[in-house]
Amino acid sequence: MAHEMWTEERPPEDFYRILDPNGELQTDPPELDEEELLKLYRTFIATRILEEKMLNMQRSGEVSLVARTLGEEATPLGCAAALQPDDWIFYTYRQTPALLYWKLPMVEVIASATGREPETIAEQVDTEDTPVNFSPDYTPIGTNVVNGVGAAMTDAFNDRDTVTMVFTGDGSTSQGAFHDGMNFAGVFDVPAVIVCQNNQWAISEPAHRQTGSETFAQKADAYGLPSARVDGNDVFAVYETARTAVERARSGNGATFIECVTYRMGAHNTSDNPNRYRDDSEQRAYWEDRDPVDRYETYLRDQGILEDDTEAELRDGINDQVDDAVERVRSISTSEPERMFDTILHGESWRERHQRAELHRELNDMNPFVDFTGEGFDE
Amino acid sequence: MTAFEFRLPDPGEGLTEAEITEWHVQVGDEIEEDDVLCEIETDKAVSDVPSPCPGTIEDRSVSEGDVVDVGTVIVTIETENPPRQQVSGETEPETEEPEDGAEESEEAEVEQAVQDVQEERVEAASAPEAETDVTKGRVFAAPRTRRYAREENVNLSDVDGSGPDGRVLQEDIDAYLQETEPERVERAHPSVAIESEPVEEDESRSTRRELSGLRGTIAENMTRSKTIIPHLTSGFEADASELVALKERLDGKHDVHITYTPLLVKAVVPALKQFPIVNASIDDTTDEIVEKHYYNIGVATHTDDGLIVPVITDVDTKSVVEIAEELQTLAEQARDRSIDMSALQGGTFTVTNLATYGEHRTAGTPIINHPEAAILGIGRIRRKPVATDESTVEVRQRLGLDLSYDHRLIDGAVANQFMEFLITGIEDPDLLLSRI
Repeated sequence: MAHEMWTEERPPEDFYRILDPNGELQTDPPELDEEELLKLYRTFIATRILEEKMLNMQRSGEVSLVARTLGEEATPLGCAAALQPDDWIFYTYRQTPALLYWKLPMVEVIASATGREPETIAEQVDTEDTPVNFSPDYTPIGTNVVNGVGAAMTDAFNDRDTVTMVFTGDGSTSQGAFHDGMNFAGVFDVPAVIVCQNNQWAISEPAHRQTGSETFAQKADAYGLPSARVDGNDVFAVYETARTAVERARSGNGATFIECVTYRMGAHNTSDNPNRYRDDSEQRAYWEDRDPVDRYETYLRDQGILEDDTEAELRDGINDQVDDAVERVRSISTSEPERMFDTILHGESWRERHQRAELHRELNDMNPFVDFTGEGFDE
Repeated sequence: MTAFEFRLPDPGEGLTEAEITEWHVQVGDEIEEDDVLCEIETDKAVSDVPSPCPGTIEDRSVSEGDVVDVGTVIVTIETENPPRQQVSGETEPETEEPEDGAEESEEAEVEQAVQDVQEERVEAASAPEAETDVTKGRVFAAPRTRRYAREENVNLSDVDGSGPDGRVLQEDIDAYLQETEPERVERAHPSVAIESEPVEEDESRSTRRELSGLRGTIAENMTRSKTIIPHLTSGFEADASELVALKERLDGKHDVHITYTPLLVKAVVPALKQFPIVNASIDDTTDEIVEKHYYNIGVATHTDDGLIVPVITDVDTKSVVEIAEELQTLAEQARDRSIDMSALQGGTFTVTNLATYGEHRTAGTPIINHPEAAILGIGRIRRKPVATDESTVEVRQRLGLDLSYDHRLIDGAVANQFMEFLITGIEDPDLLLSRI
């Protein structure tokens, strides 16, 4: 079968925007002080440096798989910045800025990518709880909507005033779980914000082959949810929109669906080669001009908030932080596969005991498949 | 310091092998963590392989063009900070059986053999002391000095270091070289005396005649070439459609018969200019490499008495028509043996066109015309089914090419680059025209 190369269609630009691609304000910026503004910038840069390092670690065999946020950083960053401590983030593999913004230590981000078990990491790394709560990162993204909306419903039942931010993508809007979750969110006024990080590509499927809808945002209409469509590369627009949605959710008025229009600049992940299916020769320059970091940096420089020496200092600090994290990761013990059972269940079950015994025998060069009653391994 | 053996990681999810397309580091290079070691190509993509640690490149275990299984050691890095994960990695056995590389090509074997010879040479040179790195412990020397020692085939443990704590300096190596010079030169040219053995035949059913004249000369030349030159032959195939069309057009416009030979003789010259080492010789009497800045191309010619190789001089200054005319004259003279001896000498590169003499021939291993560095064997243009994309097979005219080369001078990678350059010209006459 011959390859078919796809060129994505440029999404309509009639979305909410505060900071244009040249770094100029279209309307009033959000009320963020200088420290907050620099924190956003620092998270942008930290994401790029950390992900670049992890990419290198993948290529030299230390990390199994890396998916980068490259070019999409403003979306998870702006959304995360709109949350308050104790809120929840249901994330996937392309929201590194949200993790870093809420101080998930780099050592944990890297260590889990190297295949070290959460139990071992928790024992060997001194970490504090993050101010917000993170779900585990789900790879089948649609699942996030059901899980996140369900978690938000639990909080509402328990009269907590926390908000759950759910990240999903363009491709997952075609999954059943997305519709299930959206429907519940609409019916029960759930304190959630569901973010569609529309990067135009679901691995090899371009957005125009994903849906017949003109926009992803309009899907919310069917569930009775308010929606917004924003420039996903404009951190101010994302932040403002998310902040309004978070306030709405927290005050008991229900969920909001936000489509953030962005673009996946790199490969889906390190086991993907987009050159096999994506012809972005015409689109690439367009999106490079709309880079979320460039425009934000331009703005900060124009405002006199960022200067060469502050930037250099900041980058040096991040580089040290990344190097330090990598060094610490390397000092954590490597795989003890049997530990995967330690915290998988609250309590224990026969099935779990049985599987653990099978794995134990397998790892010790014994035949694991000799017992069919579950009694043979009780030793 | 540890010699960290870096194994090819799985570059994607569940990939089992990758081709090393380009090395970015040389043996002796000092590198930082994340410096790119090499580029690899897999079924999925081309990507860089960065170093997991800082250090010095001790050894590169695979060559460009090798397809390597995931887990194979590709490079050894002398480092103070070996990444733990791979050091403790128990996934691969430490011993490496040659069978591991199941598809080890003949080239690799030859290269291994050459390496073995070199190693023997080093060992021979150090034989009196009968000590190796292992028995003597580690020898301290700067990376640059180590590289120099390797270039000069000197085993560092044989050298008395005059630096602090016996550290070996470059001048120590020079001193050692001077000391051992005569011995080394002698060993560099091993002359293996093979005792002649008589042929015992059934006299009633055989005849004997003297091996003399042209046949005697051929025998001597072939023996000399094969004895002195470590040959390596690589096979290639080019699309010949454009070449065929070009030949037909040119042939129709000139009185002299234009064959493929003059076209290919002409096409070779830009490639020789691009890769001067292919147009070079080793002077065995002085241990010097002689690069020639003129292009005299020998054309192997079959005659009733045997092979003769007339040389067309200064091919770069002659037109295709002139070459064709000269070739015709020389071939006639060769066949009636009126050719002047001077026309058989001074070649810098040879082309042998075997198309006429073997309808079913596929490939061969031409023998270099000593002291040249390489010879190009040309096959018959033949229609073949060729997969032009994933699902289409087209019938195309294909030209088989075999390059034998002096592996002392020309590395496999260079030979391939030379041929790729040549083939781009064969496949695209416009490109060829712009080069000649």
